[in-house]
Amino acid sequence: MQPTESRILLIITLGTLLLITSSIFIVVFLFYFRRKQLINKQEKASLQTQFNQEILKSQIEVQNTTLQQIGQELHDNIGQLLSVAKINLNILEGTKQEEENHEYIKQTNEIIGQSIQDLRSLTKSLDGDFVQQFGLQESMTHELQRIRKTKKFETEITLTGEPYTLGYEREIILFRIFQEFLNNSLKHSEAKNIIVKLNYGLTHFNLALSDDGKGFDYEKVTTHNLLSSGAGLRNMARRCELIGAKCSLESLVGKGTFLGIEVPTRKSLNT
Amino acid sequence: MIYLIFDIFLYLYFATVVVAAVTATMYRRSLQYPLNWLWIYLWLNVLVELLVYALRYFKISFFWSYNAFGPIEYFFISWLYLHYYKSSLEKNIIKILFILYTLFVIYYMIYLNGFNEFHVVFVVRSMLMATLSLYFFLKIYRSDEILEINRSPLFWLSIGLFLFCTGSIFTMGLGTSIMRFNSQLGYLVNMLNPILNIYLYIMFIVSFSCSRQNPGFY
Repeated sequence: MQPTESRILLIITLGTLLLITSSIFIVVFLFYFRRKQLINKQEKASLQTQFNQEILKSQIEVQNTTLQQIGQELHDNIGQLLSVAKINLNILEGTKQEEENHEYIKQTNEIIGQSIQDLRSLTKSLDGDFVQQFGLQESMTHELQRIRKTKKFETEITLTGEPYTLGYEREIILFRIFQEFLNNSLKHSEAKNIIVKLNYGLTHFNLALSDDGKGFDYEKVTTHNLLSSGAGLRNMARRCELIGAKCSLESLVGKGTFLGIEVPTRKSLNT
Repeated sequence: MIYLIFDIFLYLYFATVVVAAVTATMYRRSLQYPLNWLWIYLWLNVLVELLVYALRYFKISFFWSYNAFGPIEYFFISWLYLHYYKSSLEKNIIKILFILYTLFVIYYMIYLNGFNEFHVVFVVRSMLMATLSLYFFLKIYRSDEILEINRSPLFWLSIGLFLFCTGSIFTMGLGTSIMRFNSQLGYLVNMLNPILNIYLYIMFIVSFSCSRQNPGFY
């Protein structure tokens, strides 16, 4: 081969290699770039979820602290005042009075006594430590008893399976969801009966809450433009997400409302 | 036959440049800065090609027009990257390289037969622009930001520039060497030039379309 020809061949080979290398570079770059972008997107989504969870946790903590403070204030201030009023009425009851007045004093004393009982009961339900001390089932039973005392509602709580603890964090959130549901039933539903079912399964804990109230249009409430509309429902869903629970809400106008929550146990999370 | 095919590619290349210039002009109000100024560069390109055609027709040397246009082309391309980079060091490097390249072109034209040759200037410019686009790829790869490449005009411009410049290093640099030994073969290699140019200006058109889809992103 002539030196000129070999030179030409070398130049063409180099040039072709250069072009092929550039093309391959672009293809390989695109492949690795897309892969990195996918990883970045996943990381960003994970960070966003973590951030939302942290925000929600903080909100719940603030709420718990606030409720605890309110409970404490009620107990210390109002509770004390009522106790003093009861003491005074006891003293008054012991003094000589006309029959009519004596009856009024006795009735007022009973009402004050009842108010003190109810206040204590309310304080307990506001206090998150109550859940920690007595557990979820006991706290729910106590709350339902408080509602039954108003004589406007009938309540029922049933338990299946061997009870176990879900951990304070999950139980307090479940309790707050339960309170939110009760709140909605008491304020809006015009229900007469509220039923609570707790099922302690091997792999999952199931909580079923239902009322026989007037129900509501679920789609309409959650897609409404007003800021406050559906906020309680969205709150419930977010809290369920926070503890890794599945939440299902069903409601139809005239058919009552049902809320089902399924919480995986630690065992099923570890497998 | 080869000359006919070459002419066809040349006309196709010219048509692509005109389409790119028209597209840039039509979209210039909706394009983000500095993309909205590329219509000037593209129309200058069209004018240069027309001038070269006229000079060739009258058998007058035309390489000086390509050399003179070199710094202008480099200016517009490096301006795009200048706007993209945030670091002052990167911006300063781009500015210095532009000044050095312009001085080189002037020196080459005056002292090194730049009126009758243009491949050296072209190769140097191609190397610089390939480096700019490579550095851009490195930056976006290292960045943690999510980049929708379907909506990134500079990404598609860089893809176009990189392949065009590396191809031009071959055709203008190595291809010219071949011309000395075998003019027909050299001519064949030079046929890649208009093909690479067509590819480059198609990427320009694609980048303008991307920018319109997402005018908030550069």
